[in-house]
Amino acid sequence: MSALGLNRTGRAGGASAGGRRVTPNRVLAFGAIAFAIAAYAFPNLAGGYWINIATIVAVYATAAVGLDLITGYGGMLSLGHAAFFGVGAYTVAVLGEHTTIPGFVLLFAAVGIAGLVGVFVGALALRTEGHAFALVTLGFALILASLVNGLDFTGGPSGIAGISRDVFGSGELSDASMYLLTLVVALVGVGLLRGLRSSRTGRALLALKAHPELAAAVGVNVFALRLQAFVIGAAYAGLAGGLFAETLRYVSSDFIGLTQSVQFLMMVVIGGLGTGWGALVGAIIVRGVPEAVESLANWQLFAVGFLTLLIVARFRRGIAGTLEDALHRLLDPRRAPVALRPEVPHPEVALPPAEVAIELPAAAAAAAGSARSSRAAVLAVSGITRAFGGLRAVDGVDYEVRAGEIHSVVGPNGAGKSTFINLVTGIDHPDGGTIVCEGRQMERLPAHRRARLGMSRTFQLVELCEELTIRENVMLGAYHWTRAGFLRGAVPFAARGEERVVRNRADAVLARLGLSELADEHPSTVSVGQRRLVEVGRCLLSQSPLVFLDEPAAGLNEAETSALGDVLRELRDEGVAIVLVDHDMRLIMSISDRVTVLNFGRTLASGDPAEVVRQEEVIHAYLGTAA
Amino acid sequence: MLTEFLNVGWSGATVGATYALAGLGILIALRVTRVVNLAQGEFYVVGALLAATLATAGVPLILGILAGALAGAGLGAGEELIVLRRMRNATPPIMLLSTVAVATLLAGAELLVWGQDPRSTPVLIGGRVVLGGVRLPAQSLLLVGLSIGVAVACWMVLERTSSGRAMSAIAEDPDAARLTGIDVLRLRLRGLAAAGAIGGAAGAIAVPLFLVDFNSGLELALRGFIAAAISGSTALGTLAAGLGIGILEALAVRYISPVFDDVTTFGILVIAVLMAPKTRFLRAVQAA
Amino acid sequence: MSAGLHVNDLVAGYGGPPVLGGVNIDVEPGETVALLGANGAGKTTLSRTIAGLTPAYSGTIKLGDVELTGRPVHRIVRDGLVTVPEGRRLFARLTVEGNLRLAFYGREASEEQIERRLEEAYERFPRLRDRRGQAVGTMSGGEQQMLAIAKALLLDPAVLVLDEPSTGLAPIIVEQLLDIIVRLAEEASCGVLLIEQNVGSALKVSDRAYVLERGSVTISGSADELAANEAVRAAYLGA
Repeated sequence: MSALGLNRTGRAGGASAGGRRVTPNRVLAFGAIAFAIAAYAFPNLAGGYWINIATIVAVYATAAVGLDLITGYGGMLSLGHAAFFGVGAYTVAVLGEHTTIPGFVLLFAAVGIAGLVGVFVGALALRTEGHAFALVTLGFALILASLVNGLDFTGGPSGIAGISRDVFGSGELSDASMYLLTLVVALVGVGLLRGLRSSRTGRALLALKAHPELAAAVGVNVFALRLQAFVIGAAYAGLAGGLFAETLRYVSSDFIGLTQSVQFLMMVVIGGLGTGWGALVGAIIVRGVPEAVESLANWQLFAVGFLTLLIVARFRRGIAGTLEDALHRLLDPRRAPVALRPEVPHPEVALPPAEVAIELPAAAAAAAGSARSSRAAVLAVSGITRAFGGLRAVDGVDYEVRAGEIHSVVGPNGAGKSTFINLVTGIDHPDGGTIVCEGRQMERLPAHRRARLGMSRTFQLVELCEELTIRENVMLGAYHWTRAGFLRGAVPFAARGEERVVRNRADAVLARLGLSELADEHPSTVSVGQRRLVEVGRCLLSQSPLVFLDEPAAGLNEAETSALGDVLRELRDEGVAIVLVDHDMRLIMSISDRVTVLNFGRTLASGDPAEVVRQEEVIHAYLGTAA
Repeated sequence: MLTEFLNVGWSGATVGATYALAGLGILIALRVTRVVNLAQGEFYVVGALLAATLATAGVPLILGILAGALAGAGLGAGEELIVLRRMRNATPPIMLLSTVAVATLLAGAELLVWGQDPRSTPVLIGGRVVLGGVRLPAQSLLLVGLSIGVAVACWMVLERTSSGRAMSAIAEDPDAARLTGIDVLRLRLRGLAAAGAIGGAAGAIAVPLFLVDFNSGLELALRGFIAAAISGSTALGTLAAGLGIGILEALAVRYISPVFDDVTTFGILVIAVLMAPKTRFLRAVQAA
Repeated sequence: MSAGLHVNDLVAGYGGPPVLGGVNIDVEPGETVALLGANGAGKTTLSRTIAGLTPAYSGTIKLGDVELTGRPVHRIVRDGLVTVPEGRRLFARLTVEGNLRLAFYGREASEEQIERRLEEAYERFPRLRDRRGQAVGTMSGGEQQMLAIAKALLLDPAVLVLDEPSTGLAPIIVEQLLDIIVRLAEEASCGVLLIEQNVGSALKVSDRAYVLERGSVTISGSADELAANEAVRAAYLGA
């Protein structure tokens, strides 16, 4: 086959070359171990006052880890994080006051109740988006704070004092033991969040943050995943709150108000949203430094506001993110601009057999075989209609595509092609008509369900997640046939087998598309043509029997277009049904088995490509009366 | 009994006037910048604390009000020039976050300049006005009067002038407004300065009635936002909603429980958002 | 008003690799010039860059002797280069007349002058007079496009850039619309740059045309030449 690629020397197959290479991740891991040792040793050597400060910092860092999951990973700006911190703290305080339950059980209760409140708040707040989401979370937090202030069993404004520190039923923990406990919890939290970053669920979250439509198109239930992230983040804050109560032996509403919520947010922003360890850095700067240097206490608010503005305006990735980027630049000398160059035919790389058996959806498995006996319609659309105000964007369109067929949809701008794709893939829903895919009625199903049932797509304005590498963007395609959730994703090695299979397949797909050299790059560094191919790669990895390509040739040069055509022909020969929407008539004419022409939302002509373009109406629609 | 009810209601309306004024500032800023400016409350606090300081130094309060308005206008313009203008291509969460950061920064500055203790001043106009058997403090009449005046002025400008039309165009589609020859940056600056002036003047007029400290700003901004949000983004609606929230809070605190101020207000927010997530303001806020 | 638009070796994009790689285009006063090209060719980037919405990497854009690159968008409009963006982008919350009146915002014009200019616009587009008090959202696509053009003309353009005015309109409406545009351009000796995918209609009303492909002008010539050009036919029909 002929494919696109880059002729560049060096770098055999990614970062795995050489066991002793200094990679950014190794530096970070080493740094983490060094930090853990220092963090444990220093306060113990320095004495009691420092231990108390360090314990509080560790507790706040734990809460900030939860907020990073919500805001940094999930993209939900929460202004009410202190509410969950408060729920945890008061759970431990109130239950501890009235019962003799051991402390660690109380901590579990704190996690559970904060999580439950999180389900409630999240489910309601997620009905909104953007600013409104932030303000609803804040509203809940303020309601909670004022209830705590007013109710009797929470001790009113004076709070609850004398909380037991008997965490493990072995007597009151000393300051040093309490510090060890909170430090371990914080570091484990950071580690888990960091692990999540390079897992199926972490990738899905980052994609969701960037483009919800992209996430839905690979099978992510956007609402459910957001809610999960919110609830887990809330539970983390609950744990931190519980530890806080046991550390201070005292809680009051002063610790859970509006100011505290804002401070949590500033911690993760200053530390670095979406980095995991930024939560720790932020807690040290926002909480630790002013506590340690008393003369700074009055400056804290001003400095935190200023730092946040500086970060937001200049260093969007925060302290941790900026340091990581610097580390990458330092250790990765190959950051030269990428020049695009069509290549001589690329040796074909077959997909390697799966190393671990993975259950594929029946439809996908069926399509994977190249010799498909019955050429049944994979997709049958009948009479779909969609009106916006008075305009009938799609007006009673019939359409079908069979396995191993490329059925193109063309038409002038405004003809309804994009609306058609949106209706069939589930971004929008038709006013009337039916959509049957693989024998299932799906006009009412949401986009992510359709993706799981075997549809994949590319977008007219390329949608790739900038925070993920090109390989990871391709790996997104595997979302619907893999399983690792939050826990398996976060715990090291728990989803190793599945992850390896997906990674190998992604590498095979990249090789096939001639993109191997770019696997570790981020999308913005490559050309439009290559970005479009990455999207095609994502579809390939989804193993869907039905692929929608929305103007894949737009912005491609001739060599790139012809290479794209070759890839599509191969896919077709492997039995995939392809819906191709494009303006490039040379591409359309050379690879389509069937063409449907839309104009003003209606089917103008449909059938054999050569016959269709000879029709008078089609010529008229394209060239006007001059032709 | 009734007198008490009316008294409680009036004191609620007085507080509500500050919410309405904050809401109007937020409304104007939202029109031109498409961001909910949570720093709006800080304009109020700075105006209040500045007026209090000047009053202590013997400066007539009327000059204090002027100084408060000027300081607020300066801060609003500064926020636009230094922060919001640079952030205008950022995502909505980042823009909102920037305004929270500005609020924090200003609160920090207030703490450094004025310290922790809440302040108040003697009233500008003493005495009471008897209205329907209820004796109302004259200063509170001034504050409520200001909120009504500002709301009407906003309504006139937004709905009846070419500037209001241009602001509406910017709110809908800034790039298209620029292609129509509208100097968007200048209108943004004017809008933020006006919002700041409203906040500063409100603070200076309110400070004889309420204790104000560096912590008061963000909560006030939130209440202003709620007033603007549930009114569907109209000036007169914001006035009504602000006064209404203030009255409801006061009644809930008096007749239900002293802790019910936040519960009432934010309960209203939550219910408003959930019952009517498609009001014009919320739609604008979500889409922004 | 007799200043032409001269785009010289324009390179532009959105921060990443350039989308336009050295484009040269001229529109003389009173002339209608079509710019043709497929999606992704860079047509919208070109119109955004000329309008000042997107900064140019290098090259010059001149209106007469005035260098437009680096100038704020609203100044460029005041200088006489008026763009009607793709999708029309009218203000749905305002009435028809509210949209038209925006053209006078920030300009020195008495109420009588404004009334007189509005009256002229209504005479050209009688449909707009009927609907002057209505919200824009209630109008058909063709009426909206007329409103967009009427508004642009009130801005006194020396050169008018129309980005895909035919999108979503029936062919007969497109032709009426383009006829109006050309007639008005001739009356006001205003240059028109007509950015279109709708090749036939565009060529029919234009004096000259350029074809943009992947950020560069690949074909240019008189409209008649281009209409007869095999390569143009091939690009759009694949035949």
